[in-house]
Amino acid sequence: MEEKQSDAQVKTGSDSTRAREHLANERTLLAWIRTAIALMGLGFVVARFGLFLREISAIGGHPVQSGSSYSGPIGIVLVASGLLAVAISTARFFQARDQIEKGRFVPEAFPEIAIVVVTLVAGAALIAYLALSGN
Amino acid sequence: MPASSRRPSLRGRSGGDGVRIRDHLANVRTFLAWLRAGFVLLGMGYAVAKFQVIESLPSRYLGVLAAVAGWLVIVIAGVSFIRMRRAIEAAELAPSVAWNIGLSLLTAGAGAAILVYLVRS
Repeated sequence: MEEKQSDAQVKTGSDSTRAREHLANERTLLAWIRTAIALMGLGFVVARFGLFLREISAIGGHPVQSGSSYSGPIGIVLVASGLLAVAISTARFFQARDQIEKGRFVPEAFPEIAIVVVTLVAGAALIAYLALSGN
Repeated sequence: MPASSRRPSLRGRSGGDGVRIRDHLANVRTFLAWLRAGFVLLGMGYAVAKFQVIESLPSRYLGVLAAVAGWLVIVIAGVSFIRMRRAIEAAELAPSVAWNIGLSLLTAGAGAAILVYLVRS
């Protein structure tokens, strides 16, 4: 306990700052989790909606569109990247926690850039599919 | 001490490394909030375009438009995250509201379009 106190003293001066750093770290993890849930929800909608529509049109006697449905794979990619985001951000939470305790915080950009790149690629595929598919 | 090599005293805000850490974490959260806005736009666009709620061409175009807007919001999220990250490290912050106004206008426009559609049908 005393040891941690002195660590915080060396770093910034006050212990209340240390508490706020940890709380900020926790809020950041929660924001990541929320984002991952949104991403997985988006993926689920994309994957299932296409299937739902095909089944509806089959019931309605409309010709079922040929198997050119890309919404399934795109949705699966989105859900998988949401899952990956949970794993990476939880690992990052513990890493940042450690860095705060040690007083050498290194800001990261890799998880953020990765999630942007993945969702931009999947989003572009989705838009291309929407714009080009027949109906 | 590796921490002292990061010149916390040069930062524009007082408070040292603790403020710097919280600035970075807040930047990540802001980025994630933008990302979520992009996801919702993308998903809404997908649903509108795919579901063909309105049995006409505009439905598809509107949906694709919303999906493209969501895509652009994700781009903006990434770019402003990196920019802000640099600004925090360099201690020269120049907050800009252009994108925020843009997103508000976009959302208001979409809301107005939905309202007009609901009232007229």
